[in-house]
Amino acid sequence: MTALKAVGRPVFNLLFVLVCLVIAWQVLLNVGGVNELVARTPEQVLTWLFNDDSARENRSAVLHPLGQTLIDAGIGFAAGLLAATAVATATYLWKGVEAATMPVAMIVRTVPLVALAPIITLVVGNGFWTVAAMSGIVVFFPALVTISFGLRSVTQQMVDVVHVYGGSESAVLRRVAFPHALPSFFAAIRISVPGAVTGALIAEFYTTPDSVGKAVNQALALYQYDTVWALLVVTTLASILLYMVAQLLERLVLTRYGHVAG
Amino acid sequence: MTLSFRSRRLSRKGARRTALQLTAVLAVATLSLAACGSDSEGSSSDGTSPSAGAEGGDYGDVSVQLSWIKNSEFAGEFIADSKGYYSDAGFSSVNLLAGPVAQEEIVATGKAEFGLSNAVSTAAAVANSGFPLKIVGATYQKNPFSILSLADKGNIATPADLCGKKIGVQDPNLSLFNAFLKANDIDPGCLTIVPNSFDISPLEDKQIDGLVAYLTNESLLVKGDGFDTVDLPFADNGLPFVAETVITTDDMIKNNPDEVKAFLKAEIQGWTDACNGDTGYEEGAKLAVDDYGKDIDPPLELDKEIEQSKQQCELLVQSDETKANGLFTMSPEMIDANIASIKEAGIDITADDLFDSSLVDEVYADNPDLKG
Repeated sequence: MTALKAVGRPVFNLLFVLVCLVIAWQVLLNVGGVNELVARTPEQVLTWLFNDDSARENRSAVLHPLGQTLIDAGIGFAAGLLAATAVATATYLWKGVEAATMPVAMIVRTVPLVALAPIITLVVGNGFWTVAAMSGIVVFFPALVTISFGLRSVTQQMVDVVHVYGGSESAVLRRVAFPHALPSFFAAIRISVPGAVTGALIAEFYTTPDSVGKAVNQALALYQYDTVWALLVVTTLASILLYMVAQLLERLVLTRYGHVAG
Repeated sequence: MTLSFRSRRLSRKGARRTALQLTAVLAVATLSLAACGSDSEGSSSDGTSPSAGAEGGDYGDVSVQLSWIKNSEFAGEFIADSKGYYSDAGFSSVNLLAGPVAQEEIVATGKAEFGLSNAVSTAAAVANSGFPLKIVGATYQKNPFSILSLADKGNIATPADLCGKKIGVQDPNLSLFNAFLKANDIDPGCLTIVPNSFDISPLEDKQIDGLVAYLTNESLLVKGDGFDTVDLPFADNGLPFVAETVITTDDMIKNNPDEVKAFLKAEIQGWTDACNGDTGYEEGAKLAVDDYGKDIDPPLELDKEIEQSKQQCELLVQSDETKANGLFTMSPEMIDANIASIKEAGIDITADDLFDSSLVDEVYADNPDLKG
């Protein structure tokens, strides 16, 4: 029953969010007085995607770039989260690491990514590594802070128990610190999902494949407002869905480990 | 300088509560889009022009959306404004709005009465989003787009030279660049496209072999920095279309044709002066450097602006056709060639849906001395 409950809540959340989005969208169009040449209503976007003469081509014009962007976001998500976990673990084991990495992390975090971008492309070129670096940077810092916090919240008594039974430092890490940091780790994942998508969109201004970041720019130049709005909608939806999946995973795993899922 | 260039940045922060956070994200995204739709700095945002009784030739204030920063590209407009050609034509003031923005959007949504754009961009707005716009005159008889390269690096003198090269292309110009490849039967797979802004330093630093540029701007800037440059103009290689075209709404043409004609007349007078030999080139360039574009950073350089004035007049504004028919005119043959270029760029549109040359023809019929 708990599993069903864990699934039901995110699905309810998802519906709630979608309804809010559509209402906010409609209200903003009405209140903002956006010119109808430029604006599209939720209904118009749906029609364009599903009920138009060229609906099939329209969908592929939007989903193809979205696929690339999700790949880019995935690269950034993995790169950022792996780096954050590694650095957080190192920080937990050797205190000196924190002093060595934090200033760099702070610089990367405080300088706007758009300002860093030209330097990153100069160093690593216009391909895979740009995406990994740029999207990864967006993910890295919040994930590092959250995971570090989780690891550090292990109490001395728990560590002592492992030591008393002859466990090494790595056993402490494996048996106490990591399981204890799980809620923080999942919080980091949830924060990272939209972050990775944002990072990917920024990185895509500097890379070549056909992606959402590129497609929006091109569609704007060609006044394809249907495409622009549809891209915005599918990217937002994909972001929400991935967030929900992360939340769902979190609930299932934390329930299994006896944490109170939050 | 391009079809239109805007960059947008989405930003998101993590928050704990799902629903609230995501609602806020969308609100921000929607707001930013809404804001983009309505951010014009200029006046006259009421959009209606007080020109119902046009006989008196009192058209009030108008706004003109330029396609680029206020450099010599608009020498004719600066002269028409400073020498009073606009006021002689019946406008109490003309507000020149600097670009680059989406000129079609500004004009179609009533934030400016007139705009300067190019045939491909306007065709896209009309064909793809049903914007009620027409091109009523063309400053540049040929478009100034080109592939700019250094003689000792890319040395791209013919379309075939593009193969195996690294070309910097701005996202908004990507479809135009692809049309250029198609018009010249070049396989897009044989070259590498690198995303680039309008920054010329990657070209000068030799990180890229070529850059999509303006014959009259970036090309002169790079030359001014002491490099030996090579140009591959789109207009001479299968993609001829008009640029710095005057656009206005269908509504304006229908209800206030006299206002459109008055505007075109002042434009023609301004550009006639701007292209009047060395004195004209210098006059337009000085107005750009000392007056209209004096706030531009980095500051405009007079020598480059004079050279730009000269080049644009000799290569783009004046042609055999304008010698016969007058500046800004668009002959049926030229319009057909434009429609063919636009088709190459993947946009299907008829000449009547995009061009209305009747008004500029009437201007010359009413003022035969304009041809000079």
